Amino acid sequence: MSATVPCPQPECKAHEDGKCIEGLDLSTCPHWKGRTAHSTPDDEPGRLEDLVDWPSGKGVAAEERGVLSRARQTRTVLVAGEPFTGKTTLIGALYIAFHRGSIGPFRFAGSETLLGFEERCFRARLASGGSSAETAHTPVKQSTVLHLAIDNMNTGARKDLVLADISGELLKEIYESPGTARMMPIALESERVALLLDARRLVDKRQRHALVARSSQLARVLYEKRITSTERPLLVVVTKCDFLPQESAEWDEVRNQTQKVTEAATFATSVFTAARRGPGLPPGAGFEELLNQWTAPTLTAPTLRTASPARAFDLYDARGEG
Amino acid sequence: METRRILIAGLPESGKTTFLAALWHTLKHGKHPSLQLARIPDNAAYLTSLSMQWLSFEVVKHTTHETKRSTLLQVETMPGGPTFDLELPDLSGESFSNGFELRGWETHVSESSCTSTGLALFVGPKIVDMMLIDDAINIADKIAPPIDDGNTTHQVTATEKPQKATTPSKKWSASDSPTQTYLVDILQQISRERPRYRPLRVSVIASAWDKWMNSSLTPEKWLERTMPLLWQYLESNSARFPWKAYGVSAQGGDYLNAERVRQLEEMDPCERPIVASGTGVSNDLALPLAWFFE
Repeated sequence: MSATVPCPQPECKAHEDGKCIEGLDLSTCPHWKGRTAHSTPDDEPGRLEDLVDWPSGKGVAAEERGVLSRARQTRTVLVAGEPFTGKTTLIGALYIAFHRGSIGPFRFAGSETLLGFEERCFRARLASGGSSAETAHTPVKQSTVLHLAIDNMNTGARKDLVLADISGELLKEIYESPGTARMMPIALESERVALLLDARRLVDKRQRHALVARSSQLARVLYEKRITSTERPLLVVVTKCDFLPQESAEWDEVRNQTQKVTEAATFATSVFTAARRGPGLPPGAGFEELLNQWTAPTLTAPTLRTASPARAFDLYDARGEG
Repeated sequence: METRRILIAGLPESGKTTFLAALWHTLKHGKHPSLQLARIPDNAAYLTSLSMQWLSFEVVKHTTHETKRSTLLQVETMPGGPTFDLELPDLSGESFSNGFELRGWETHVSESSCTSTGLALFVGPKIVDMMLIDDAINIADKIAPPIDDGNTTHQVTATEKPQKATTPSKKWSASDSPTQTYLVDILQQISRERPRYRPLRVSVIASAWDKWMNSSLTPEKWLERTMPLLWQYLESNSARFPWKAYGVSAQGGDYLNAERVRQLEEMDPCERPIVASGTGVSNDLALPLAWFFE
C-alpha cells in the first residue's frame, strides 16, 4: 500500500506539490530526508512507504498539556520568575545533569519531550557555534510544558513531572491581574510552584528592592489564590548562585532579600542553585533539594528555612563537588 | 515450532551487520555453547556474503536504508533440545536515526518492535556526546590558565557583566542530539508500541569492545559511565525492559592495527570475536541472544 506522508515541517505541502517550504531541493532537505521514495525488492520503485509516526518530542503547548497526563499520573510544577531569571536555564541544566549521572537518589526515567529539552539546551552546547552557555528566552506566545519522569532509588517511587516553562511576561499578568491572567488555569492546577529569584539582581542595589517587591506581591497572590498553602509551600529558588564568590558579603545580602520574599509568601522554603560554572556554588548545586521538594508526597511542616550560604558551601565541599 | 524474533537496533555503523556476519560463521561451525544451529536455512546467500567479507578482514558493508533483509535460522539452546526459529531482521541504522530525527519510522520497523521477544541494542564506538561550552572553557582554562602577573589580580563580583559572547551561529536540529538521547527515545518509542504487559528483554551490546577492554570496566559499568542517561533509563524501567550489557568485538580488533590483524590471521576465525559479560570474556557471540530463549 502506498501512502502520502506529509513533511513534519509545519505548513510544508511538499507531499502535495513537491515544493519544500524552505526552498530546498527535496533530496537535500533534512526534514524530508527518509520520506522520499524507496525502491525495495518487495515494493514497486518510486512509492512512498508507510510511516508510523512518533510523538513530536518537543515541548507541549501549555493548553494541550492534557496529552501528557493521559497515560500517567503527572505532577505539574510551575516554574515562575521574571524574564531572564534563568527558568529555561534551570530546567535545561537539570536535564543536562541527568546526562552526567543521577542526581542524588534521583534517576532519569524518561521524557515525552526529549527534543524540547535538547532544543532548549542547544545554546549551551559547543555545537551551537556560540562562545557562552545560554538558553533561549521563552517567548510570550510559546509557553510550553516539558515532561520529565524520575524515580527515586531509595524509595522506588516514580514521579512524572510536567514542568510549566512559562514566559516571564505571562507571569506578570498573574500578579498584576490575577482575575484575568491567561496562565491562571495552569497555575491553579499546579501542585508545586517554584518562584525564581536571580541572585545577581538581589545584590544589585538598583534592582533588588523592585525585584523583591514584585516577587513578594506574586508570592502573596499565589497564597491568596490558594495555589500555595501549608501543604504546598512556595519554593523560592535563588538562581545564578554560581556568580556569587564564596564567602563574600554579597551572600548575606542574597539571604536577607530572599527571606523577605519567603516571609511574604507565608509558607515557603528556599533553595540556592547554580546551573553553570563560576566562582560561587558548583554547577548542579541545589538540584537534589529541588527534586526532593518537587517529588515529595506531602511537604514537611511549613518553615521559613533559608539555608545559610556558608552552610551550603560546606555541604558541597563535603561531597567533593566544590 | 516457536518463532523468536529478535530486533537488532542501533544507529548507523554501530556494528549490527558485522555482528551478524561473525555470528553466522561461528554458529555454522557449532562453536557457541549457548546457541546451536539446528540446520542450514534454505537461503543463506546474504549471510554467506557477509561472512565472506568478515573472514577476509574486510569492513562488512552496513545495511543501507534501501536493503531490507531478514534472516530465519533454526536454532536450539542445547543439542537435541527444543528447536526455535530465530528471526533476525537486519534493519538499517538510518531506520532508527530517521525515526528519532523525523519522528516516524517504517511500518516494518514498527512491526518488529511490537512482535520481538528480545532486543539487541547496539552502541557503536562513535558516541556523540555534544560537549557543553562551559566544559570546553573549563578544559581550555586548565590547559592555558588566565595570566596572573601579580599586579592585576582581578576580584570577580556577582554583579559584574560577563564578557560579550558570540551568538550561536547554528540553528538547532534534532540531529544535534547526543547518542544517548537517540537511544533512549528509540526505547521509548518501542515501549509506546508494545502492550504494557509484555516486557522486552534487552541486550545492550557495546560494539568494538576491543577499544574499551583495557579500561577494566565491566560492560555494565562502562554503560553507566559512558551513557549515564541510557543507563538510568534502563535501570528505572527494568520491569518493562529487563536488561543485560555485553561488550562485543565481532572483528576481534581494529583492522587498522597491523599487528592485531597479523594475530587475527593466525587464529581460528571462530576465536576472533571477543564477548565480555560481567567480568568474564569468551568468544561466544550468541551469548547476548541466548537469554532471550530462557
